[in-house]
Parts: sequence; C-alpha cells; structure tokens
Amino acid sequence: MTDTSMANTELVSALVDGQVRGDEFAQAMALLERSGEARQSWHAYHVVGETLRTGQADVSAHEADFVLRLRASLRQETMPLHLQAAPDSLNLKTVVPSAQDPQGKPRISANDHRWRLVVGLASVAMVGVIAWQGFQGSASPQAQLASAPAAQAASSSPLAVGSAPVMLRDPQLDALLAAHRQFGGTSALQMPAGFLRNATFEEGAR
Amino acid sequence: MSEQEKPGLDTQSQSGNSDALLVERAVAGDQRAFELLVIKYQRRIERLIGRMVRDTNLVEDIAQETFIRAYRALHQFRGDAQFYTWLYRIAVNTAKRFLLKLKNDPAVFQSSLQASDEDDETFQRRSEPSTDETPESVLAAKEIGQAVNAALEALPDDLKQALTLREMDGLSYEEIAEVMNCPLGTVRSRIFRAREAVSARIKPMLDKQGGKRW
Repeated sequence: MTDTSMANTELVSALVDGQVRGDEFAQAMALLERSGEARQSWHAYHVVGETLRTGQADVSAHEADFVLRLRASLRQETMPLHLQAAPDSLNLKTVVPSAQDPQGKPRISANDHRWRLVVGLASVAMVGVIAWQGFQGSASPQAQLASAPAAQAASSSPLAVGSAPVMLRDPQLDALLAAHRQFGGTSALQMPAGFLRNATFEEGAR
Repeated sequence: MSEQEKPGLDTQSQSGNSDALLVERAVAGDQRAFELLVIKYQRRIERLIGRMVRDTNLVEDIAQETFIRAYRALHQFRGDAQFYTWLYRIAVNTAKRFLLKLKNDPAVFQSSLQASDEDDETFQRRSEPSTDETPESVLAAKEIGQAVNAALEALPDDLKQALTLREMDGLSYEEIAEVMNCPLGTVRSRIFRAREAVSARIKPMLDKQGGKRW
C-alpha cells in the first residue's frame, strides 16, 4: 500500500470512529465513492469491531446482494427526501414498481402532491362556505327584526290608512285563529324567522 | 435480546458523530452515504429482526423494508438520539407490521414467528444455525472470529491497546490519547494500523463469503 493509499485508508478508519470533519470528511466520502477498496475497508473495519465487541463474527453470504437490492430499490426513490411522507403511513413493499409503470420509471409522486393541494384547497373552500352560511343564518334574523319597525313605519302599504295604520281583517280568519289560539304562539320553525310573520290572535292587543 | 442489540448500549458512542454526518449527506441526496450506514448496521438490524422472525428470507425482506423506510424518513432524523436507536425503532415497527400482515395466514405466521422465550431481553444469540445458514457459512463465521482474535494477539502492544480501548472499551480518541499519553494523531494512526493488520487477515475470508462486492 502506497503512502497516499495509506493516508486515504486512514481517513476511512477515522470516519468509522466519527473523527473526521470538514474537508477531511469530504475527502473520505469522495474516496468511498470512487474506491471499492475503501468500501471494503469500511465493511471490514466494522466487522472487526463487531467481532471484538461480541466475540463472534456475524457475516452472511448475502450481504453484498442485500446492498445491491437495496440500491436498486432506493434508485426508485427519486423524490427529494424532504418532500416525502413519514414511514408510519406507508404500506409494506411500496417501493416495488407497479405494473402500471412498465418502463420502470419512478412513480410520479409529484402528482400526489398536486392532488393533495387541490383537495386541501377544496376543503378550505368548503369550510369557508359552511362558516359563511352559519354566520348568515345567525346574524340575519336579528338584523331583519331590528329593521322591521323602521320598515313598517316607512312603508306605504295599502293596508295603512293615514297616520294610524289599520289592519283590514277577515272575520272568518279571526274566528279560525280564535278557535286555534293554542297553536298560534310560535311559528312552525320553533324559532324567530325574519321572513315569516307569526299569525296570532291577540284580541286584547288590537 | 442480547446486550449488543439494545439501543443506547452502543459502545461506539463517538460513531454517532459520523452517523449524523452521513445522514446529512444522504438527506442532501448522496445515496452512497446512506449505503455506508446500511453496510454498518445491516448485521445488527438483521440480528434484531431475527429475534422476532424465524424465516431468514423474511428477516432479509424486513431488513430491506426497514432501510427503505429509514431512507424515506431520513429527513425526520433530528440527531437527538443515536442513529441506531432511531433505526432500531423502525426495524421493530416494520417487523411488527409484517407479523400482523402474516397473521392472516396462520400457517406462515406460526413458522415465521420465533419462540416467545427468544424474545426475552436476556436471550443470548442463538447457537444453532438459522434455516438458511449452511454449515459452510457457520464455519466461515467461526474462522473469521478466530482470525480476528489471532490477529489482535499478534499486534504490537501499542496497536493492540489502542484498538482494544477504542473497540472494546468505547473510549474516544481524546481519552485514548490521555490513557496512552500520546498525541491524537498517534492514536488515529495506531488504530488505523491495527485495523489494517486485522482486516488484512479477514478480507480474503469476507471475499470468499460474498465475493468482490463493495
């Protein structure tokens, strides 16, 4: 092993121990990127360490296949990591390319995000509409009730005569209301409604 | 579960630093950095899963899924805990999901599940070979263990002491420098030379096991 090679491999050893920083770390990574021998050293150093700690070597014949298989799977993971979902929500074996992707291209995960965005916006819009309707429903009756006297006073209804409005009454309707007074207290809605007038029979009040 | 698999009992406390750097690079898109973490932790993760699942092929599948999930969630690793602790949790959750899925097939489930006494915390590494461990691979592992020990014994005292303090006692370079009363650079050099001497003995065996692979 040449001096340069020794120095390089010493970097790998130091990296195993977490003892390289900055430029040295970059050098070590570049070395491991280009040199199979350096990667072999990385592997062997860890095996040596584990064997010394546990007193037993634990090396299986499929380790290389394992990494190759994983590498192939990870190649499918083309989306930037920071855009991806948490693992808890994932199904098992989700990285295997689907049958709908015969060319082996990575699945278009970006579409999922677009759809998520559309669904999110639609949900927000729906909540807004519902909230607006609720606000209208609770605010308008009071507003209408508050404005009713003014509207009444300003109206020039044909039922009003002179300064003291007199309501024209139907005697048959009066008789019907008198007979069913117990039902005249509230409207069918059981709540104040600006668009309905309660038809009540209050003889004394008139 | 044996002591070595428990998260938080990592004797290489300093290695967490390089793990964090490798994670950082992997998140930035360097897949090779993640592969280095895989090479480092694959055996431990498989041992861990092997305590929950009997079928060795299934162990490998779960280990694959564990690393894939870890890769996807790598940006969520904040470095508050050791990387292995984080990976350990993903492996256990992944194995549980697999087992839950297998429950729909009781025949497979029974054959895949390890005996409950082996899940005990005090359970030591099983001595009998698993289903796909051949006598040759068991022998090779034994030979590697013996070669490492023989190579360590053959080292000059200063190299042997440096490597032992680092790997077996988990001391940092600074602590080793203090114990051995030498500069940090010397510690680094001694550990490296010791590792090279030992790994030179086992590299042919590793190559025989898996071929030229890295």
